[in-house]
Amino acid sequence: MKIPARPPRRMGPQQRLAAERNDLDVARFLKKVAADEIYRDQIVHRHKIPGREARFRALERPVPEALAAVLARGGIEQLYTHQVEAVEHLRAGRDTVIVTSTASGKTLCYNVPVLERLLEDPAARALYLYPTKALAQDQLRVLMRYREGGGVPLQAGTYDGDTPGPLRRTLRDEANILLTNPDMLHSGILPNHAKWAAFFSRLAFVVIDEIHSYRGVFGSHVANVLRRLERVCRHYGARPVFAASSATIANPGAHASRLVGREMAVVERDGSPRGRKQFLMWNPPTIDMTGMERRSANVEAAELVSRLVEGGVQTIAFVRARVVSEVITRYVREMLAGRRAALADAVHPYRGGYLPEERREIERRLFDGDLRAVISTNALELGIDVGALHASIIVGYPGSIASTWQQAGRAGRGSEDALIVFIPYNTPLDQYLVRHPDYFFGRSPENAIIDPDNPHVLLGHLRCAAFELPLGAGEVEALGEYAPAIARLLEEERELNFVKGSWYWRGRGYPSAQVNLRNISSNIYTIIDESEGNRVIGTIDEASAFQQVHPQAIYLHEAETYFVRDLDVEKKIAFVERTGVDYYTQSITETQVKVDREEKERRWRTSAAAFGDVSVTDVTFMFRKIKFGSRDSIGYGTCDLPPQVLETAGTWIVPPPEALAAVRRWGRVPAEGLLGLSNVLREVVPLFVMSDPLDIGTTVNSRSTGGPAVYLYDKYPGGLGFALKAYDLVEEIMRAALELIASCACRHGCPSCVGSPIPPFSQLDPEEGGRGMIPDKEAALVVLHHLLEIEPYEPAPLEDAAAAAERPEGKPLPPELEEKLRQSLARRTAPRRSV
Amino acid sequence: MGARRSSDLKGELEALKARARGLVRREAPEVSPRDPAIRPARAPARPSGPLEILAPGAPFETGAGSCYRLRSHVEALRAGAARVYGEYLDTLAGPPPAPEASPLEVLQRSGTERILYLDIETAGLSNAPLFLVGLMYGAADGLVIDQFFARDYTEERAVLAASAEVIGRYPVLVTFNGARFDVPFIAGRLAAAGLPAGTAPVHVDLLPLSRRVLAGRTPDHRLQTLERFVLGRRRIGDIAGSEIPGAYHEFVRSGDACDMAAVIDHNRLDLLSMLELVTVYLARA
Repeated sequence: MKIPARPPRRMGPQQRLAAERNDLDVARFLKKVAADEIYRDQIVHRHKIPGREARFRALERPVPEALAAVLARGGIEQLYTHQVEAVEHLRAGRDTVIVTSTASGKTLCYNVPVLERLLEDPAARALYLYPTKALAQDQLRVLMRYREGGGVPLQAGTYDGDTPGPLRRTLRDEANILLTNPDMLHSGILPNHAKWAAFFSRLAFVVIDEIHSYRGVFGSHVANVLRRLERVCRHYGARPVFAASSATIANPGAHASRLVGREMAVVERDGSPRGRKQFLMWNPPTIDMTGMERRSANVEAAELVSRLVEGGVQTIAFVRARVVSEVITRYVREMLAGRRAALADAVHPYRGGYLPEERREIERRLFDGDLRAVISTNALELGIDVGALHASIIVGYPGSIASTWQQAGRAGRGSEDALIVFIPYNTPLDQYLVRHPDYFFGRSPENAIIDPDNPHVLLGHLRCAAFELPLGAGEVEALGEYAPAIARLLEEERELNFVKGSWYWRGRGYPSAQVNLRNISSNIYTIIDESEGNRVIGTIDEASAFQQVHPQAIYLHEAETYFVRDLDVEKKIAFVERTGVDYYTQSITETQVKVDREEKERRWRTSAAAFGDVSVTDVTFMFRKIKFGSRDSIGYGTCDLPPQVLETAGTWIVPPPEALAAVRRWGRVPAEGLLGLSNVLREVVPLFVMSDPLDIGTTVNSRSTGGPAVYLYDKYPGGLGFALKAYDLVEEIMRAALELIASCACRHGCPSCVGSPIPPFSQLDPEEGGRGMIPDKEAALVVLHHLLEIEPYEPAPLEDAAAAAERPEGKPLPPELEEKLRQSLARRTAPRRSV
Repeated sequence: MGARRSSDLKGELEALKARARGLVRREAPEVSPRDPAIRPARAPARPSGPLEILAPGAPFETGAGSCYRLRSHVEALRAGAARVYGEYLDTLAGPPPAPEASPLEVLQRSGTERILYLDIETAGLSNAPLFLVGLMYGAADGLVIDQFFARDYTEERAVLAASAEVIGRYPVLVTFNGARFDVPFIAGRLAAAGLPAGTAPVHVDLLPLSRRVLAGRTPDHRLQTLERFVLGRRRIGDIAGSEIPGAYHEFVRSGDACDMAAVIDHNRLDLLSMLELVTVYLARA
């Protein structure tokens, strides 16, 4: 018996045709491809994931008839074991987190108990939280299917920034399932809880979807919003049951408990059926005599997608940058135009920056089978329901094991066979993964780390919480060791009054307006196409605007080229016009870090350690024109854009010149050792300061320090205390870094140690997709041994002994002289500005 | 005695009607409230001291805890005002107004015993505690102002409970800008405190009514502007509305009631001005 994970839609003849063709015979397809001359030897690894039968169980108490009828209409007559486990937990009032694979029917796990409750009591309320507006809107459509037939008294709606005023009121009073996002809960709902008094007093369930996306600083903020939700519920006498769902991460139970602030039962034994999956690592062939150049991964992906489309296989390709989704779509369309022109329109890019209605349309066409392939950024990684896809092509390492599996999970719904292909770029990091497939398949996904008690985060939420309801002294104590001190600080600042055991808000204004949960600039640029009567064709955030829609850039939209006439930085508008050109542009941005004010300084062993204000400056100063297809560079241009400056807090370590000299003595490059060390720090420091690697920046720079220094900074204006904590823990952090590198089994360095754990998500070079280089591991070890004053490390002899021999030792520079020379070099290489 | 009163009333009424005909004065003479009892202390020298000394009242017990009540007689605050209003209104009163009656009709058809005036003072514009509710109503011995005051944030519940109980007894509620501010604010605070929402009496909001009656003949329709141009007086030494939230928080912290006495006066003046505006509008109708 075949159980679809979601109710199927009625199909028209065209869709039915598409569905039939979707029946993928992976083996046959691969055989055909392998026989093709141009694909010889490209499959470097095959990993087979066996299929699995569905496992069903009966509920102790069957679902009410009205609900059973709706489920049966959607083809669901039995529940999988994990669904039953979750429903029983939630029925018993146990807070639960569900961690099963994509398309395993996670939403049913909480929808069943919620809808059951609504059947008993239509006045009960449920709150569903999604990380994005798009996801909430998608899930609303899923929920609305339960209304068909009228058996379930469901009133649902999305409540977000786009909800019109009159509808807000209706939803507040009438919706029994309200779908929203943490940002809206934080700034729109909780501060106005009195208007929501009836809603909160009847709140029976809180559902938090995709909790793996709430990590790092963003997750710490969301955890505080949930604490505030909890106390508002308590105030109105409600004790809702929390249900959470997560994609695969290393610590789902611990993460959910920390996020929600309650012990959570974990449901992870997946009972859904799974077809066999083939996970291929596919390396584009070398094309030159030296064996260094490879065929473009993008062209390779396009070729593969076009063949899958021709073979009737519905495919999703995941790419790292928006511009790449456009470039590959263009290639696929060109390839298909020559062979099966009718199919060219059945391929579409999907990415952030498209207008919501455009995205809805793509999702719908994908769901209906009308689109055969979509080339997407990680915008589709979250659980937007686009139906069953049969192949997932991952172009370039997405940056984490968890993300890779999430993208792989898009292929193969139900018991049908599926194909996953990883195509690496020709960068050290990507190439490492294809050369060491065991590394990838053997490694567990990353931990999600949050720290709701972080004083910088807590400060803002204490103010919000006090504004909402007086803060009891006991309550404040439960918010972390620094919370009472922060409350007293706010009292001194005349923002709180302490009366009879509670702190009351007395400040002015609306404190939630001063807390932004996400580290995203709220500056959004609009892209206007002037060739069609000033039509808005998309949006883009400020940082990306400077890189992608600077004047004279070619902006790609739906695989068409648009020339950027002007970028109005004040009005935040990019004016473009449609032009058919055969090239695209890539801008070049330089990042510099400099010390603004040194606050603390100490000797750490033989190094200097310092903490203070730093500015990290990005300047986009020029761009290249690249011909489609041949990838030839056909020209340059300059950009005149203001620099983007992040003023934050940083810690920097200046190693003594002897440490660098030690590396040089072995014929190795000191800068590589430091770069390797800085990459390791980004992995290690989060564990000590309780953050996500994405919250921290590390780099090597000598501009403010004479000699090269390893910098570590908070990626938040003003800083969030990570660098400061690291300053106090330099010894522990460096020891952990040494341990990590030394215990890594690799020979020359790998992504787990000195390799960049996260490819810098640059939109800059669509071909390389980021410089995920792996610096010299041995050089890093020499440096670290020196810094930690342990016996000198003897690196393995250089393989390329001849190259080392060519570099004569000579007399070492006196340290002072070396520093002077470095300073003058640093001055000369200060960031270039465009004219 | 009754005869004398009615001749007094006649004279007062004539004066009132003359004023109502003109309605808006060209010039607003600078007058302080006639009775020294309602003249607020001159800023900035507001004397310091505890609430019980500066604004005498008594603890008031409710089912939701205790608060502080100040009771004053309008006649003592402003001689003549209550009497003119009360007797005038009672002569107009007829059968209860129809549900669709206009605000003026509602006032004309309701005797003093059916109307409650309300004005609140709060510690902020939204989701902030409410700390003072002024209620003015007709009693056996003339018009009375009861003010329920929260001596700290915890007493807000009692203020809400006491006020809701009084509001529930009157079929007609009169406010100035209450449709947008006072009434929803109280509803929000009742909901936030988990107290039952009060019944909804017929509500006459004098702000939109003034807009209609005065039809652009005053620079704006703030209560203090109407005092100048319609009632012909100006407040001296009054505390500015924008200072009130901060003053209350400071009182809670320090216990010094200097500004609270001014706020309590301010609240009474608001109620008195509402009363006098109604008298003028009715005389004109």
